[in-house]
Amino acid sequence: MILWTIVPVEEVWGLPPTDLQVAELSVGHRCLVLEREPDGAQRVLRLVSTDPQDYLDPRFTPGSPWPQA
Amino acid sequence: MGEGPQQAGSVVAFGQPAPVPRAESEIHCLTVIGQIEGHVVLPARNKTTKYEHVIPQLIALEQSTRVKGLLIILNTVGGDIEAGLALAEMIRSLSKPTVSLVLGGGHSIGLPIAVAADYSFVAETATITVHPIRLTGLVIGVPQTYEYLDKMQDRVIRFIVTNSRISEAALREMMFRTGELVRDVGTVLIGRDAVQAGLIDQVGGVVDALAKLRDLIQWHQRLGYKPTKAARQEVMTPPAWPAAPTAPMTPPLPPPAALPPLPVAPTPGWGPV
Repeated sequence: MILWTIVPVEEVWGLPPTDLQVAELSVGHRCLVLEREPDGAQRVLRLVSTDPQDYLDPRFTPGSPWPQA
Repeated sequence: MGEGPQQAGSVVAFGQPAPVPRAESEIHCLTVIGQIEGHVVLPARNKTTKYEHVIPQLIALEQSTRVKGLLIILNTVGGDIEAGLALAEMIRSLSKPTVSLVLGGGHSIGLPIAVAADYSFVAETATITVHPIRLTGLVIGVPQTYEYLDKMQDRVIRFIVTNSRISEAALREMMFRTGELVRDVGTVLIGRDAVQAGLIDQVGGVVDALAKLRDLIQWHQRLGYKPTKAARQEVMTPPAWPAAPTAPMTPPLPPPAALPPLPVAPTPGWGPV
């Protein structure tokens, strides 16, 4: 693997780990990256989709709780 | 229109916005952000574009009958060379029109992805850093390493030269220029510079990129095929279009299918990034 980037390598690899608990979930054609908080609540961390309309959907907005109430 | 008061009511009662009415978009948008991640997962806190996310999406776009064109938005610092080239090759070989727009930055391996589209834009303030591949991966320290790096370098250069207006000599000169970057050899191109160098087609923003993409989609629909980049560069003025068909070019799309019940919990279980 060769990284070709303007970011120094030590910065790419040397970042401290996070205690973030994440998982990916497929919802139709979308990929949702969810984060789990210490109390077990799940939130949308990131939406990966090429459909721009998905980003207007409040259910998939980063920060919104998952599953929806 | 009995939904209006009902929607307004739900906002008042639950403090939540009503779902946005869903419209099908004929133009899809692929965002390439942060580091382009390759075969090794980068440590958390790196913002990454993962090929296992992007490549299936590109395949789906190619097969979709609804999607007519793809807009690629780049704001990347570079990343894995193999994953970047894979992405670039996939974008280049899509049968549907593609337009790229570099916003912020399209550095290193971001450049082949930008030029892979049928037409490329760069924002006035966006920067593109052209610099040589450096020895950063796990590469065995033998003399052949140098040749290997040279080969890697060559294939990137070939890709950029084939898909843009720059000459190989000019690109190599930019790549190995000294005195421009503080800690490295190479060149920083800001907006217009990238166009003047022949790497990017035009300076512009979202409106320009979408207008160009719609134009290319019309070309595609009328000609029935996508003219190659080389063919379009030779013919500066578009060929006369055949007379517009009397029937609508695309039949009206059926209403989008309702969203299936949403899964609640991820199956693979939780873990650190």
